[in-house]
Amino acid sequence: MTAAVRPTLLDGLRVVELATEVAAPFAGKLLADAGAETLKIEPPGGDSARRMAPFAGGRPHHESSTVFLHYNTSKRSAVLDLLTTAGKRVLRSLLGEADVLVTDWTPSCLAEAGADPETLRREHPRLIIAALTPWGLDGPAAEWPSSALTRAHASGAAAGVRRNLGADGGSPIMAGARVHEADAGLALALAIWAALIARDTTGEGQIVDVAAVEAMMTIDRVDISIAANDGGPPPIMRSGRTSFGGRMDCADGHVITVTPQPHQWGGLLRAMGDPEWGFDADGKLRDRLEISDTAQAAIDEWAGARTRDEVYRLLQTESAPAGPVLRPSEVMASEQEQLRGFFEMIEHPDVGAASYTQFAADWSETPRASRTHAPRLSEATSEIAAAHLRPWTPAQARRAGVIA
Amino acid sequence: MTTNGHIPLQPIAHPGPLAGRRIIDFTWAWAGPYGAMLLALLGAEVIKVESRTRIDHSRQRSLAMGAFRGGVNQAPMFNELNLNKLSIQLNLKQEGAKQVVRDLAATADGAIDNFRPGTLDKLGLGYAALREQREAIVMVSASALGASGPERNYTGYAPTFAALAGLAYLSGAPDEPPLTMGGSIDLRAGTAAAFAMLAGLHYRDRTGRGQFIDASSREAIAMHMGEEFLRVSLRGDDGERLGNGHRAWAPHDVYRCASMHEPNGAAASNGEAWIAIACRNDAEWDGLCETAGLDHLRADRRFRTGLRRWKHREELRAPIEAWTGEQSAQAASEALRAAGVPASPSMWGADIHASAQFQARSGGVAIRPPETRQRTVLAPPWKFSETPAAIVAPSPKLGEDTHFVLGRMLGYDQERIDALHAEGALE
Repeated sequence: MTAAVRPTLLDGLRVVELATEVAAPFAGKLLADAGAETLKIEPPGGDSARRMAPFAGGRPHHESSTVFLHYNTSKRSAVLDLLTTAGKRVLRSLLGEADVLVTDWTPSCLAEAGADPETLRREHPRLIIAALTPWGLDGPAAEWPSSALTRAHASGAAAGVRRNLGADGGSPIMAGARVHEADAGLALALAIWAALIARDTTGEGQIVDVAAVEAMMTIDRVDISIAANDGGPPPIMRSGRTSFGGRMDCADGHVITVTPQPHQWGGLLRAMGDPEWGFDADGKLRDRLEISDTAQAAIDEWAGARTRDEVYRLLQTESAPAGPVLRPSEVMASEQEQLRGFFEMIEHPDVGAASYTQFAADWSETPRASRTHAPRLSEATSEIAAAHLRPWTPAQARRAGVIA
Repeated sequence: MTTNGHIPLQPIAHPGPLAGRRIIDFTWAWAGPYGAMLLALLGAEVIKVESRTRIDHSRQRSLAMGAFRGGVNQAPMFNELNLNKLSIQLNLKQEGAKQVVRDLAATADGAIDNFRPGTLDKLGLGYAALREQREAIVMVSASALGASGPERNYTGYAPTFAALAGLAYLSGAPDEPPLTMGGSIDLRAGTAAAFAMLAGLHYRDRTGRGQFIDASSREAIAMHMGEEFLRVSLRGDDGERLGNGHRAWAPHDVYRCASMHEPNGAAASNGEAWIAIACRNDAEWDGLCETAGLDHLRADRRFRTGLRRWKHREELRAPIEAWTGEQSAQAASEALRAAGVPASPSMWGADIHASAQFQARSGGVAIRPPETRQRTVLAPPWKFSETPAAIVAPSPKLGEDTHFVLGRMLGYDQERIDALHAEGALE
């Protein structure tokens, strides 16, 4: 399991990350996990994600936020005050050696740190300057205050969650966890990889400007576009339960089934034991819309008398697409993911060993496993100061307030 | 930018970062086609292999796909998810069609499919076969639950991936059943597959080596919420459904407004008007109270600290909604943002297209898919300074580029093409 002997996707690539919380750090994490040498520059006090609950062991501590620990695997950390002259000098020096800058600073903040994208582009022609800001680097909203909640609602993503599954009435609602923010981070990572490929051909770096809100929009692009062009929202699946699928309420939980195609609907009926109401006199499938009330009542009764896992297996055995509503802990325990090695055990000096998700695809030549834990706050600061603040010593830099 | 009419009879000229890369696209439905479309938006020449005998069902009107009338070239879903692509019609059960795929593979950089694991192998067109044609080919094979493990042959659609990944359990209001989602889930899986391809292509640039990439849609969703699994591992408990709420901050929710734009004006395009407001600290709370004329709340002991506001968050709804209920979502958002408070109307559909920000960033592109009217679709979500991603062609008609690919790209003569027609390989 030594990383040194196994090729990784991004051997030798150098990344500087100037980003906090979830979205842009997710992009940095994907590069770092793929083998890029990734230095996270944190402000004095650290990335605010270090203060995000929930915490390992239940006690707030800057090394134990589960959010920080997840979104910063495989990186190193240096604490640097980029508003000092010397701090800016260190950043310039680091970027001179870097392939990629990942940042979520708005245009005014970047300018204040002497790192506006146009200047960096001129000074470092091979550098890929990857900016993920709430609303993009230009446009009237570039400096608007926002939060994960308001970004999700501004993008239509929250309406998309409600519209597609339709809690009866009620408000638009965000998806769970921090999915919308992760969408923005993944969009940025995709763009960085594309820019790396372009650089393979042209030798040139570039500025990549991704607006988090636009990245979230694009994830709901089909429904947004249909609503905008064809008028009105797409049909709502009432309570997620319709005659062609939706949420089944089983004895001990829920199964989601979706059977748009006739052979899949036929599979569902086979799983139920070929009930008479499903077929006409010639034994052919009847039109679902004509029998939807009968069908729904019978499906409810059938599912309600069985366990979630039993319904899932019965449906899948007949090739009816279905999935049980699993808790995260059940996903981790599933035989499927255990055997696929989707969760990797990584040891952290403060919080101990824990299971971390891998990327959602495995590469035959560059397997996804083997990352390192998120960095302890400031662990690489002295090393960075020694290399980039000559002739100052780290102690002098610390006294000058450049590093913490 | 407007792209009218038919794709010209030449490879689509594209300025993007993947210009000059050729991808064979075997995907269908939503997730796979979207992943391949991202590559096409980035400039790759993406050749979609499809057939009348096994039609991409997003081309068909079906119960799950909404109520459009029309033929296979007029489906809004298909036309949203296959921009910039070429379409070749091949019945992969026919030997002649298989040979076309092999010939294409010899010229391709990558291939992507989202069949059940093993389906292309059974047709003699899996990774091993394509690799014989092009050793350094990069192949992404995306499936519901991945190509290994006991559930590898299980099938699924977007909502089942959300359920299997643990996301449905965490989505929804605290006192309501779990929510799954629709197309957005597929598009997340497609994005992960596109990422895997890009990583493979860049690695190939560096090393000359191709690879096989096994992508799981369920894992794609789980990957977007990795911290929730870490929580289980480090604390032993599962997260909870929070709706629009937050574990520590309040107010943090959506509130009903009188209208979307003008006071007493029209509701949003979905018939409703909501504003999202988040206060993460005392300064933002003060900003809300000042803007909304809620100074009496600021003085209230129940709301004096962040922790107290969170504990009494249910009691904040009525007074805040008393204010928003008299406002347009747009005006209230502007006022709150001016006071430094994160706020936004809850947007949808035409509201997004009409917004000043969307227009200023050129967020929409007018296209005219063949056989149907002009529509505005979202521009690519990345702005590259040197190699712009762009929409340069609408989604193709079924088989629109069959002759171009066979004749111009692969150099087949007319006699050979006629023979393929005759044997049914081009259905």
